[in-house]
Amino acid sequence: MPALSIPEPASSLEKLMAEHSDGVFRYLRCLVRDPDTARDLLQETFLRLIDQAATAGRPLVYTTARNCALDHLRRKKVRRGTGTVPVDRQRTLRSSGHLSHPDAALADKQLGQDILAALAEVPEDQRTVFHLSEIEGLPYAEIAELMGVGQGTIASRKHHAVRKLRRYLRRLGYEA
Amino acid sequence: MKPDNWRITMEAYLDGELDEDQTRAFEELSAADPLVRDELELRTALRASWRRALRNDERIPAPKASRSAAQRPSVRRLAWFPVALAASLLLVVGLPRLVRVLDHQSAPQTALIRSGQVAAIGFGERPGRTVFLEPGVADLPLGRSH
Repeated sequence: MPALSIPEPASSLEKLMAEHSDGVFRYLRCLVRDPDTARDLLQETFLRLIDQAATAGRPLVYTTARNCALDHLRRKKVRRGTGTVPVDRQRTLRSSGHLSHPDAALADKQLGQDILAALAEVPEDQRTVFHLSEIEGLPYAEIAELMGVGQGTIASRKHHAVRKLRRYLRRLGYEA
Repeated sequence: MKPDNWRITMEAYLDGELDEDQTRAFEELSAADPLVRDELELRTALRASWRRALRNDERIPAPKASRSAAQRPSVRRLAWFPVALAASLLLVVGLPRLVRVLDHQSAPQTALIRSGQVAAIGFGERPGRTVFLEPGVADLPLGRSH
């Protein structure tokens, strides 16, 4: 008769964190922008998952992270910033590959900040779809599951998010 | 196909969400239509660029120094606990003895000295530094009007 194996909460949680921390942090950063807040929410996310760590899969982890972020945004009543749009950037997204390494890293860093600023202009549901699909590479089925909508809605939201992001980046002088 | 429809299909194509038939149909469309082909090329480049920018830029930041320091008070409390305990014992044990010694001495000015010493113990100063015996004042008996 096989012995019953009781999952150890600590090791299950550690495993869950090792597997998802980076991606969840990027997602939270995309939602709240401030890296310190994102780190706090990351901790809160995994605290909420302590009891379910042994069975939690990626959709539950991201759903929990999203709930944490939305709770935070509601608490803080964070308004989407209008942001000033610098107009002196004359870069192309495809050109950073030709830059020397430090310049390319700097260009990527600036682009990352610009994308986050642009995403702040996008509704949260579209932002979530964009980030999880475009950056983290989650399949539509998983995103649909965690957001409680159909896959067609996911495709549509992503299209709208990409369209808005590209429009914003073009205003900044990027080729997009 | 409506303008937005082929773009939505293109997103799904890039995300690997189309089945075989849909994939083939979209690839035929992009081969036949320069606009779709160019857009697909740009969108592919954008995706690589965005991923590079966001994935490289966004690392989990280390806790701030101030946050680490915020965890120190518990350690500091532990270190100060014996000191505080010793000071309390000294006060409890030493104060009655000090009062007894001073009670044996005469002259009202000792009361002033005594109050100065008690204050010195209370604030952790050396008694010799906090005794405030100004000339003339120390000679005045307490409770007596000028």
